[in-house]
Amino acid sequence: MGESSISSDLIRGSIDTIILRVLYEGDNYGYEIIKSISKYSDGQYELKEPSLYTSLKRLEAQGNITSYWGDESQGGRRKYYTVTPQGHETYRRNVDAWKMAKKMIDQLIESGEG
Amino acid sequence: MNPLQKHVEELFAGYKPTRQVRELKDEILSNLEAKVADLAADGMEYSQAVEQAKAGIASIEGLIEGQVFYDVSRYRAELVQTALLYCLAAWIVTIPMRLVGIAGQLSLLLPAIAVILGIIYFAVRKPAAGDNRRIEPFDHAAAARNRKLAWILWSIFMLAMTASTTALHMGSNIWFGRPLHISGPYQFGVLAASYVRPLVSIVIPLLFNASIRLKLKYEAGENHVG
Repeated sequence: MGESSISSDLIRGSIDTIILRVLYEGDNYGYEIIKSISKYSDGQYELKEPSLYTSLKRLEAQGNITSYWGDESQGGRRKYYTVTPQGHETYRRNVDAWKMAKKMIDQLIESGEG
Repeated sequence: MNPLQKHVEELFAGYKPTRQVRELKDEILSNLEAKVADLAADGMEYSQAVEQAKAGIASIEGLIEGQVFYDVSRYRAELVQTALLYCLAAWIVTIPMRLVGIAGQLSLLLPAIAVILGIIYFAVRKPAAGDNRRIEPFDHAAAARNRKLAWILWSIFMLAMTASTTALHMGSNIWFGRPLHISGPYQFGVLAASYVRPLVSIVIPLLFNASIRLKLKYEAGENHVG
């Protein structure tokens, strides 16, 4: 419980980027996005549904993703999301920013250790 | 209604049925169905899978934007058109009543109203077809209150009319010293028509229903800046 709440706090700021990463690999709908995130984290992180919808709504309002309704043959009327060219750019920028921040946080937290 | 649909209906109870709400509702339901199908495929019992899926989303707070806007011109044009159709339908209902000498004035009044509505329709149709959209906020709660009030008033009116018609005809012996006498289809027609005539007024509360339906139909995009 403690561990999962710590990881949730650390991940919260990067949920939009994580969702963009999933959609970077192909159009997808809500439940499959949650499943993909769980798979990428080896089952250690489960994105909560309200957080998913909030994030998708924010990404769509920012123009990073767009949505469309799939046809019934895909199993029910599902809402699919797709990354826009702007979303691709946002993803790349966020990954670069993350890499820089990671390096710096490692230095700040781990320096002097060992 | 299956348990997932019921859960989603409960989540959205009290929210205005706007396009944004309807779409979010459909999206959440389809994701819950996918989750249940997935859990069931992994060997979980259906009822347990439903409970697990339901536990995943217990509230939709913060997911819905408050203010809703609608396109006034298009709404007005279709509301007038609907009122015109209701008026013509009401007029058609009154035609057989004329045979028994009831609703004579209504048969003259309703076509006159229909003509006026027709003129208004042509006047409001043009702005609705143009590009100059006029957007106004839609207060769903107030509209729902007005609709409820319209139905309550109409019900009271109908009760009063039915009671007075019954008192007049059935108590004929008391008021006029003459018992009610139905000797054939004509007298029966007169009696039936006097009960049916006030029903024509149902077009008024129905227009309140149509008003809400049309405002939702012509809901302006959620990215609208008012």
